[in-house]
Amino acid sequence: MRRALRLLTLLLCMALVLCLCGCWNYTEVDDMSIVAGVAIDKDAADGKIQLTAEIVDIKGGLNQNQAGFKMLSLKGKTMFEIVRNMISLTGKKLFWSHAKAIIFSEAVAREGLIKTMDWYSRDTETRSDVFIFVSSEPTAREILNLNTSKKAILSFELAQMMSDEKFTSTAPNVEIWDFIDKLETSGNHAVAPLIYVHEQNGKKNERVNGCAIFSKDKMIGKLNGKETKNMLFAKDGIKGGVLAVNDIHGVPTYSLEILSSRTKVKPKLVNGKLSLQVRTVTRTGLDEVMTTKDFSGNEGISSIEERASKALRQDIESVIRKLQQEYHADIFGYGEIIHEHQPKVWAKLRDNWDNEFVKLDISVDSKVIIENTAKTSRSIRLGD
Amino acid sequence: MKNTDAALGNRQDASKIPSSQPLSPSLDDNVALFRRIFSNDGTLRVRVIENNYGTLLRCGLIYVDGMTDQDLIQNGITKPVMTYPFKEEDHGNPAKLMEKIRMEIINISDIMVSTELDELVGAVVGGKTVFLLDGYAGALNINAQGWQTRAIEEPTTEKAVRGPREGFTESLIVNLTLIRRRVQNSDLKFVFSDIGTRSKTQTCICYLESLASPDILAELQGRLAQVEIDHILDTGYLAELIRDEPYSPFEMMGSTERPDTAVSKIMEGRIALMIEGSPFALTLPYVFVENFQASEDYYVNYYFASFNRFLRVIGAFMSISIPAVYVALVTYSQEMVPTKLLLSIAAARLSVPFPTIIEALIMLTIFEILREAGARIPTTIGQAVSIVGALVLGQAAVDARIVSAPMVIVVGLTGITTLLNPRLTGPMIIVRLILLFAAFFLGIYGYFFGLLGLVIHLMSLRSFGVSYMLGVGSIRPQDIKDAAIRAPWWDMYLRPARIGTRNMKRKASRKKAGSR
Repeated sequence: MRRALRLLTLLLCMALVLCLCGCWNYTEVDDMSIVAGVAIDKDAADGKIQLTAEIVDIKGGLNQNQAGFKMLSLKGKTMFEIVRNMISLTGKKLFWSHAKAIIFSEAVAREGLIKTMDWYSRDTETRSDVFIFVSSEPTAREILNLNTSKKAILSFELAQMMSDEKFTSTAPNVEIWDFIDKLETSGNHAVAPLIYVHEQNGKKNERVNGCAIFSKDKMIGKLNGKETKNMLFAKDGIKGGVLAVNDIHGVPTYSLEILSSRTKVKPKLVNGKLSLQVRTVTRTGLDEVMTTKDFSGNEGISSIEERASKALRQDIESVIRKLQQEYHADIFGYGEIIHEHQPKVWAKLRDNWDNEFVKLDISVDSKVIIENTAKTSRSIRLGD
Repeated sequence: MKNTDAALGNRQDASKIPSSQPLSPSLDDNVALFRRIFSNDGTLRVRVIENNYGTLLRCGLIYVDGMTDQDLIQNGITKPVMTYPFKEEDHGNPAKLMEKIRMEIINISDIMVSTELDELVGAVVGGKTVFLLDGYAGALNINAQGWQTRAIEEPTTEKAVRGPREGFTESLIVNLTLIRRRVQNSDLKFVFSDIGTRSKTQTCICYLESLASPDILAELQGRLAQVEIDHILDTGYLAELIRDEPYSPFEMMGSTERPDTAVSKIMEGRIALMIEGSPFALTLPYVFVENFQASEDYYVNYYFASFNRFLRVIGAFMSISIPAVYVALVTYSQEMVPTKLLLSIAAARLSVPFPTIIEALIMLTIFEILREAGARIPTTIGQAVSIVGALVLGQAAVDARIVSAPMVIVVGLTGITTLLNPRLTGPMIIVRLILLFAAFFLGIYGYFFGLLGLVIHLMSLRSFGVSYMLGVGSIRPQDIKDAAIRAPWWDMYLRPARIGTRNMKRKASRKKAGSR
């Protein structure tokens, strides 16, 4: 009875949420330009912002509901100025609620994202659940302009790509609200996925791999895909992906599918000296064995686990060292964890956290557990 | 025109004859009196019969052709009276003679003596036969009624795959037998009265004395007594005349063509109201959930019945909501529509010349036209409606880009969900339009405000003192049993709250006879 009442209350509250989404502008769907994604560049010559919007080009006709896209590009001093001026190009007001991706050029990112991002998160027409990317190519618009082999709307493809990103974990999954949230938290640095043009056989495709590291809102460096995965391990951001494991001779032989992974970070205060202990526990399934050598004995499995654990520990350590020494940026959010566990210590550290982070003693302990061997329990045996 | 005026003048003349005028002892005078009252009425039959045993005896029969049973009159009245061997001593006292005729000669069970002229006139128009005796200032009022009625057929408005196939007819007395046959209990009461100052339509209140609330019964009788109308042709007249909340679009009394439904309502403590000439019984008090109950629910498996009821409730909700929500989403809250759906809607709407609201109104109006046309036209050309509707107005309008394809889906869904609840068709059209306009002016806010208004309106309604939304929103198991679901019969051991209050217990217990 009480549970039913609670459920009812919950449902009513949820129904109220529906009321909060209304926009008072009456517009017909065919009278607006639906923006799929935007690329933001900076013109080096005059210092103006250049905004390129990918707009869904709706083709009429019952049998051709497949929507195409068209590109619009405009320069201006501020974002909002450009956005409104775009009406003079399209003749229709831009509709932002269904935009899926923002791509910043590296130059814009290095100069600081707040300048261009503020309008997007502030304006009432836009939504803050849009994915952000940093272009690894010279400009952002060339990625959006890619005439991909699939001829589909690139921004929607990117959104699909990000939702499947959890199966590879080679790029962080960052939405604009998340990015701004990281900027506003002390003891935390933001990251954003990097986007490339991948060229093969003369066909160009977009590829998301690796991440850009930010200090405050300015980009300071890059991590490649593998480093990004290890970085995600270090900050408990892994939801899936593959671990490749070498055999005894150092040849990559086994693939482990990550089923679940948990990272616990514990700050320790010994004699006034702060150290961090990062422990990861990864449950995996053995999904690929590139040899006929038998592994079915417990020894075989446990030795694979051991090698995997060791390799993972080294990888995580190396990415932490890299961040400490090269970039002086705590993108793992360790500062926040210290804030939670040792608030008094944090009070002393917070003003000079970037330097303290460099000096911080961080030890890593990884454990990889193989829970199953997928559909078969043994290697493929060759017949005699 | 002139004829009508003359007839009207005569009728007025006739009505000027004082009703208190006594009958004359003379047969010829009486016959002349009746002829004057029924002037210009070609159906009046006056038959003078004579008996020649001893002294000449003259009698008169007055009846209306077509409403009497000719065989009965012949074998029950004329033949016995004409052939009875009267003796000389019978003739002295006309009153005694009349008594003898009534008691010994006329072979019909229902006979009354009357001297009131207006009562006799009423009897004649009601199909009874008036027997006059020369020399006696009084008459016999003999019930030899007989007329053609429609046979008992399967009710066309409330079909059931499983369950009784009998439906009410236009004959009140046949309808009452249909009820009586299902409840063979002296507790079942039939109270008659006449309504309609000119038509004098027979009306019957039907209830179970031990269950029906005396307050509601008194209220009903009070309201019926206040009805002032010159004629009623269907219970629909009464439903409007005595209902609560005269301005609400919702029905405040149930109407059914099925005797089994009427009986089930009576057995829950409700009261049924029937009139001569209408195959629809009114049941009261009426609550909102009854709109979703079908007689078949109670005859089939309760899982299936509950599922069907769920479909009807969802259907009613969809029927009022779909056009409004579509308009609100497409013209205001495009961000709530999934991206791919929005793109396909936008593509479909491209080059459609009208705003979405006009599109919705066009299509909804066309649907209502098709519905009304389908209900009115003879069944033999009924197929033309579906051809015109489906092909010409649906496919062609989309191809010609007068309306968009999603709108056709919206209206189609609206239409089909409306058909799930035939009892709510009328109110739903109005509610749907109100919500549609609210959504057009205020977007999704407007839709929710409209819905809120609807709930407030429904909550404020009462039918004969019983809240219209009785049990809706309650989470007491007892209230849900015959509302949101149809509970198994072994579990419905109480009658509905606030209606069957005089004797709540329907069954002794929850016992299931078949289970161990």
